[in-house]
Amino acid sequence: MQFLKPDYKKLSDEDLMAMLLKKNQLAFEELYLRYSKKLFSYFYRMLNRNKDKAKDFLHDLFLKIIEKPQLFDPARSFSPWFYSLAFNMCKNEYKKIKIRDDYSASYASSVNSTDKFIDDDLDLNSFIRELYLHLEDVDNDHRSAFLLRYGNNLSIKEIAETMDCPEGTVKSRLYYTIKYLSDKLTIYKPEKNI
Amino acid sequence: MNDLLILLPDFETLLETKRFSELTSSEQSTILKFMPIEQYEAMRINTAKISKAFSMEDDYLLPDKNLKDDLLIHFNKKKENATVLTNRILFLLLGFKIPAYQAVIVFLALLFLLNKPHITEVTKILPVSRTDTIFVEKIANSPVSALQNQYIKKHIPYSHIKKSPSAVLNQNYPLLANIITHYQSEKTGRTVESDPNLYWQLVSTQFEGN
Repeated sequence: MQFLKPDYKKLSDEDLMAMLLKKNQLAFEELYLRYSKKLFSYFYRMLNRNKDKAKDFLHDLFLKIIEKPQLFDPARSFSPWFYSLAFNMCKNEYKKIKIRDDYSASYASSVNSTDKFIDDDLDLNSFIRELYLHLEDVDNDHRSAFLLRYGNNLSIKEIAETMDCPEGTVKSRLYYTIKYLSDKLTIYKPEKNI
Repeated sequence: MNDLLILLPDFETLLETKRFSELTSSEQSTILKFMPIEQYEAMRINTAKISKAFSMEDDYLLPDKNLKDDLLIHFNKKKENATVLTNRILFLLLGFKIPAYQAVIVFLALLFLLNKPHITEVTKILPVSRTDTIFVEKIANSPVSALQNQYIKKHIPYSHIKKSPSAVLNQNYPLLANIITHYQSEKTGRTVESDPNLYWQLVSTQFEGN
């Protein structure tokens, strides 16, 4: 029966998209399993740690591939394409609202509700609070490149494809963001064992 | 691009994988042109710490379970819509009633069209002759025809005679001339059938010229 029911876990993202085009529900579920968590965290970080907004954005993103799966070009890799949709959604959101102005208000409420995970590590807790605070000062493109690299572990090449720019530009953005954050975060003296 | 990145394009990889002491001497000297050792180390450690913080945070960042259910409802609705549309079209086609004779006509017409011999259009490239030189043909007076004329003249009996026919006749064919004169003098005409002598006279004159 193996040939009748493919092992979805072994299929590539591109194969799953081809099956999704034929309205295959299991293909959609597999893609959701692979990407929902990664993209939720990406939206969460890009949108000032606002869980509700991240949830809405994730919903809209997956809705796009349900409604118009034909938008995906099979000649491209799925992952950078999917991240580029997410990146453009965030860019549009930044244009729509002056997110920086709203930041102070949203920050206070969101941080308290989502930081339970580092209760046992006060140093890391403080570190991440400061990190997000300073990350807000960074330009959107720099922040997105930084989050895709260190938050979602995308390669330089994948980030370049996602952001539709040369790899050199991605490297430059990462360098300046790390340098900036490092200068700001030096109050947290590095542990010797890292 | 930053000068450091031009000299060390993989600076970010070095930062993630190597302490300053682990770098090669050329890498160290290049980096030292742009920053002190402490800054390199601070960047390296903060990068590692950021990755660790994000990774820990990820364990707690889970999308709402209802989100998937909601998306699946959308998915099935979309799938249903597509199926319903196909079914409707099929239903309309199958439920459409026409008289039997029309169905037979359509069937026969289809049969005819399907069995129609295929006329394959063959495109053949043929050389096209183009007139770029005009030849004007002129019939010249050929010496052959002149010779032929001479030959004909030579072989036509009496062709050289330029005298009046009666004079020529009297001179060359006296017998025939006599006969003609004789019969011309008669008022009533005779036929070969009525006069056997006439027949023989005429026949004998045929050998006169030979």
